[in-house]
Amino acid sequence: MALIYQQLMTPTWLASSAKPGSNVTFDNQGNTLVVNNTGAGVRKNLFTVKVHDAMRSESVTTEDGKTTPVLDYFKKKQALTFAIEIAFDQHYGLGSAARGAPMHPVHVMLWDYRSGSTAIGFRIDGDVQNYAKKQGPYSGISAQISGDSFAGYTYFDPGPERVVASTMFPQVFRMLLKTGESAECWGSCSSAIDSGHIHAVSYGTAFNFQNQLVALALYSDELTSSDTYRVSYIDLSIYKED
Amino acid sequence: MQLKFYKMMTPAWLKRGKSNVRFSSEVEWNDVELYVPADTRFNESIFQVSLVKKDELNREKPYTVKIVAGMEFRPGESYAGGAALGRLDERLTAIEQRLAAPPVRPRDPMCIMIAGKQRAHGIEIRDPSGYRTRGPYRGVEGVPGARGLFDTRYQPMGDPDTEFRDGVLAPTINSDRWPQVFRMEISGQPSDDPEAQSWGAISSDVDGGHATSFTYSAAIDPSSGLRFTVFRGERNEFYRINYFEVSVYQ
Repeated sequence: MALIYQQLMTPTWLASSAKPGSNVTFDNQGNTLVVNNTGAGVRKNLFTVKVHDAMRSESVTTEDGKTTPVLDYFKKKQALTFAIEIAFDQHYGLGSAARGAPMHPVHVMLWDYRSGSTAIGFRIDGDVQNYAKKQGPYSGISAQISGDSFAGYTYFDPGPERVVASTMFPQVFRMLLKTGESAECWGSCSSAIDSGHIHAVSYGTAFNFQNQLVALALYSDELTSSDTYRVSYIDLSIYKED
Repeated sequence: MQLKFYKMMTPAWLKRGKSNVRFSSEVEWNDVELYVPADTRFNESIFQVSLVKKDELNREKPYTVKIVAGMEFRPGESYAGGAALGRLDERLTAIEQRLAAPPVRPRDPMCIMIAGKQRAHGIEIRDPSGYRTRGPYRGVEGVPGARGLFDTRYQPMGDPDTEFRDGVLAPTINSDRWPQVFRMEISGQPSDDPEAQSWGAISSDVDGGHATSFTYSAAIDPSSGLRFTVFRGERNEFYRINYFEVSVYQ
């Protein structure tokens, strides 16, 4: 079975299973998880999903009838593909100031939960004024996780020829992240902006799981220490490469 | 229904070209894209990947193949207008010009297909310059050969995305933006069920969202094995392929 784990993280699931960072509070509205960053600081953890905890009791039944705990696939540098769809119910100009303000950039990061490890992911920008400057709503990022922050980061921008004309926040983002040695470690992020837009990244760094730990987290922007993010859902599927 | 096969085909994975990957056309590579340049042949095979081997799928049961193609787009290049229909020397000059200055715009159709032993079902993605009059994509089936695709049949045949509204010819698409991400579903039915029909659909975010669906005339026997295969439609293609994500369910 190629699909080894699947979890639709609804606001209620996230409110009970994700761990908020310091100075971050959750307001679960049922349809939306409002993540209030009240001054966590720049490049700080907004919340972490310890996926290894969520998958601890799960197992995979293969075609030959054998049952394997899902965590066993996270200890031998198994080649994996993570498909992550994340939706932000961000509104502009509709009522309250908190809803009307643009969303500052947020980093969606995947790593093995240990401090000092390499994380890969994408920065998603909700401030549409930046779209023309940054050639779209997203850039790739690789970084070293350090406590509740990250350091040593590299951004992978789409490049000046990737013009984006639209200034509509596309709300739904689909990422594909592939583990492996540096030649294989690869990611893409796409959305419906401008009739469809994709940005693919070769991270140039080895990225593997060996310690049965896997975490998915959101981090704040490098410029802004407070903002409100409205997360509708995160849909995570993990595939084993044959 | 179970997921029988899943693969994220990145440029690096395709390039490493294990035994189940076979290229039959010249392509160029970097870390994030596989670049298909212009060539001189129509319907030529570019590459194929074996998805499931013989007898891995049951011939009595329906199957579904889902494909997501990520193909980025860099605006900026203008078309050499009319060259594709011009005299041979004009066409060759246009091809030479494009090869001299690396193009940044996709053009001309490409066929993304699932092939059994004797038949291939798939989708033709069309040239963005014709989206408004001909639509962005249509169904295609044919006989897959080692060198190319033969006996092609397209559906719909004509201009599927043009219709009359209040007596005026109006396109159903008002965009010629390359949508970059294409989602395809191809389902097959047991070959000996006379009522069953194989079916396909493709959608993208072009013009805020657009889908086309179609049926295929002849079935594929999935127990003979399935291959994922990409053909040129015409010969002036320039495509930047970021990935193909392929899943097989039965």
